[in-house]
Amino acid sequence: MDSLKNHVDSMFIKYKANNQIKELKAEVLSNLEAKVKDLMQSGMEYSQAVNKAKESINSIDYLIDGNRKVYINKYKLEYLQISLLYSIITWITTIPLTIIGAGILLNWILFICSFILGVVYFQYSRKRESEYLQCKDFINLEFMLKARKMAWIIWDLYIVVITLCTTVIRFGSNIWFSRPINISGPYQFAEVTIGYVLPFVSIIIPLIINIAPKLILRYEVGEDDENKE
Amino acid sequence: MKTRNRIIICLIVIGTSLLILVQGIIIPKNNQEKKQYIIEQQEPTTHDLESILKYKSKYMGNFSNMVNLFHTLPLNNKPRTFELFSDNTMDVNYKENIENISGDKLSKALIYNSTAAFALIDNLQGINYNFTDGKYIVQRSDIEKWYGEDLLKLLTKDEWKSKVQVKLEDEEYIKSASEVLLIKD
Repeated sequence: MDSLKNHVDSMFIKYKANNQIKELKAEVLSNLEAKVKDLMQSGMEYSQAVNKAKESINSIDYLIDGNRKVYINKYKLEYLQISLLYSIITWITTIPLTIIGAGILLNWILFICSFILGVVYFQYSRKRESEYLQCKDFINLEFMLKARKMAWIIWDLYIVVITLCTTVIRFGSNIWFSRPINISGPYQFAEVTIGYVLPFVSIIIPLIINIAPKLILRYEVGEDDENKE
Repeated sequence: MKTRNRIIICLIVIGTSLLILVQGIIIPKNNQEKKQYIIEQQEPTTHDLESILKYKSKYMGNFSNMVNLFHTLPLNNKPRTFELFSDNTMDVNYKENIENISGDKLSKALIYNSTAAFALIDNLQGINYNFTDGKYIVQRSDIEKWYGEDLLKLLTKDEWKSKVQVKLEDEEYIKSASEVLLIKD
């Protein structure tokens, strides 16, 4: 029966062992054990019965809550395309800031990200064979929805903290000593504004995570598609 | 997907052009202007009055204000230390020989710096410029007499240009002003 347990473990290997997974694992294992017993009662040898039972179930992905079967390569291709688009837009937005020496590192990081995404997207988009595009796999929609929610919460917190920090660093002593805030010219005004605006560039991260659930639903394999197979 | 691909190509073209414009033209031009500005700040006749107006103060007791003021005036490329005294005088100690700075350039800079410091700091009465091989003393009373008016009135762009900077272009003026204003110790 260890052989059956190992088979079940290997099917669940990519899932975190929470209560739902543990219950499901136990259920699948008991079903397989019952199947082995039935097969042996009908005269089959033990090792043959185990192999037969294993063959009867190769994947448990469809049993996991929230798992959706999608055209995985189409999904990846569009995900890459939209990420590339966002990355290029953000890169372009930060170019003018480098004139006054702000966000130079960020601009380079975005340039490198855009370049890498561009190369990967180009590689993916060259594969046009229908077999490749029809390839299917499971993605957990619930996990992606949670990730999306978490990404926005973290980003909101980051913006609040960074805005407060910028205010304290720039105007802390003015506020503490009740001195008026003095911005002497357009250059200084631009510097202060950029100090506040630059962290908002990080919105690209939640925006990219935001795409995932929409694309999962768009490329989900429908019942009609399944029946065609 | 195809429309998005077209948008991506357009954005790459726009981004690359903008990058070339910013990195290849605008930033080098700005750097050149900054370099030129720094050179101009070493020369009393082209020094920017606006850059020192923010150090205007009634009292000389604010050490960082005094240090920043001299950091923005000509001779700021020479290593130096400062000391403030309770009799409203100050020492500016340059770690440099007088001989290393050509005569005219030194006199011009000391006259200009003293005029600026006395005009901006109301209770500053005297400045001792100490060099490793000599010393110059400048008194507020001498500067006030030399310009014949309240130094505060000089602190406008036109007045500063005509009564301080343009005059320092004349070698004879520098010579006679040095004799009166720079007391060699």
